[in-house]
Amino acid sequence: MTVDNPEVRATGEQILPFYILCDESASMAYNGGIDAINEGLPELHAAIAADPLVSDKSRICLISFSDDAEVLVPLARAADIDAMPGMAERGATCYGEAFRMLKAQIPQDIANLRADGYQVFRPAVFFISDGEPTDSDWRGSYQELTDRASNPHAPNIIAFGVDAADPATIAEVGTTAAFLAQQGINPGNALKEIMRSLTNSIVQSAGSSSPTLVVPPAPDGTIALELDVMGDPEPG
Amino acid sequence: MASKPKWKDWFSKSRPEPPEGSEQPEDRTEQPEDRTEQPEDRTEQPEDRAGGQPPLRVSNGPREADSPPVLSSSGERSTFASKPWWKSDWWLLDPEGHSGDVDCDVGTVGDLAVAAASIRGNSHRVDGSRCEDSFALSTGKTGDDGQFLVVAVGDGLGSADHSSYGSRRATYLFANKLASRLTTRGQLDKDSFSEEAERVRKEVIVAVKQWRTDDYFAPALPAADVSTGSLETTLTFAVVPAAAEEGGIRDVLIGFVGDSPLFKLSDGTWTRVPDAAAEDLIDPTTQGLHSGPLELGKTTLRDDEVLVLATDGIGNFVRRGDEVLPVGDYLAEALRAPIEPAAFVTGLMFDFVSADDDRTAVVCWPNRQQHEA
Repeated sequence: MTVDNPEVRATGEQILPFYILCDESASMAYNGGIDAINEGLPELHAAIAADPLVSDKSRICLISFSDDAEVLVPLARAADIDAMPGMAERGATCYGEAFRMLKAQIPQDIANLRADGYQVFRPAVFFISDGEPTDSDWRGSYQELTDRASNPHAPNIIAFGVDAADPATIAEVGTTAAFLAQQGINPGNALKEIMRSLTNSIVQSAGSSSPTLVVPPAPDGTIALELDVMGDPEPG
Repeated sequence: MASKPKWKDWFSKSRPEPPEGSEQPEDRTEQPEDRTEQPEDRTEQPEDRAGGQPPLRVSNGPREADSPPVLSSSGERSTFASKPWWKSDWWLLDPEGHSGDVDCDVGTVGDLAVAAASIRGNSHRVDGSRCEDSFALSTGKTGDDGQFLVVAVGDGLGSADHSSYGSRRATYLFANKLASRLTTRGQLDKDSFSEEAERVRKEVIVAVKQWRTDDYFAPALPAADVSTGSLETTLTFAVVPAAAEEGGIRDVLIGFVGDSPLFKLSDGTWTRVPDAAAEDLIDPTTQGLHSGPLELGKTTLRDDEVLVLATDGIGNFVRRGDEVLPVGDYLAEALRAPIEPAAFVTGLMFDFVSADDDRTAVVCWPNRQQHEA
């Protein structure tokens, strides 16, 4: 293992970074999604900060996206975060902005952790949205983020969709797992379950003696989607 | 009155002056520097009932000096270790007892000095479950009265519900059965070892699943209701002659199922046996006594080397690729020569973020008389 900062010696200390990407589009306010997430984030923070092993081995970053993407909480140890900020409704649902932000953010964060002597596990991203992307070119930035051939820091993505989110799109976004709220389920209630599931996933992943990404089972009120598997490229 | 004691200052605080005429052992050890403030001794002193014998004085002792080493890159303790165990609410007992926080044996056989310990990992302390690591030591004799040691180390797989029992039972049975069989065979050649190790493994797989309700450590469920997978454990073992051949070298017979490593420590340098290139062929997440292939081999041990069998709670932090990690450096120095049991255990309780797994090390120092006190 190499460490970027020659003054800090690697010890074998292992860190599992988590990025939470939340949709702040206007519809998230109407369907109760913003309220559910604002209720769930402090609970997530408290659960992680209270566990000495999970808090030490995990790092959390909160990013919101709408017309643009914004880092609300830079990657940090839960115990070092005073309080989780609240989400607020904004404009459209630009997936591409979120993926571009992640593509820029993850390498910086990994470099910082390595400079501190840590061995960094492949980051996990929890992507939450209630609707279809409003930007037509999002697939380009998604590809740049997730293509492991060109991006060595490509994360594992677990995608959650509620309300007007399209199953095919959510399945396309998730690289590891994808879940969609069932028809007729209140989106706010579904997001509460999703936040609990996400919390459990972080606690179980970072709480085991060897950090391993634990994919949550389908949260109550959601179904697991079959992931979109890329086919072989067309010949010639 | 007795002459002035030879004990160094920190030790004399807790010791009475020796009675007149008694022999003082020569103090040849370097005493650690006492960096802690000594609490006032408020223990009640017993009356002098031994006709002029000074009363026994008991000191609380230097507490900070006995703390496990912190080997993090930042130099800071992990959150778990940042509070004393009796204050943190994070160091929980197993509801059925026998958490296995520390299990330690030291002793000698022939020219070998042996220290072994299993330490419960933080991940099991936090959730109040048992240590899933184990070790077993057994001895035997060849036909020409040559003593030997059998060491078995097991790491119960975290995903297996009863792996703590599986690990303990498997290492105990394996070490004792193999020692017994090799004693009966009367020789420690590779063929005898291979045949007996394979036979013993098959017997142990069957025997591990034979318990009755209320047996010591056994799962509460009837054996018929427990799958072999839920008892799964790694197994690493070695047969070490308790005397060297000519030239101060001995052949050590070794075997593995799974990823618990075996090292040789030579002049402060760690060598993994077998080497990492061969190990890369094994998937460490799926190999166990009940499912993985048994790999057998042989290595030599010189009198100036140290043999260390460990679980990955230690082995993962000794070295990574060609790089020796701080745990490797620390243990290379600490295990250079036999040490006191308390220091051995304390050293294995090193602390840093993510070192949360159970830890086991069995250390064999050959030609034990060569080491100074």
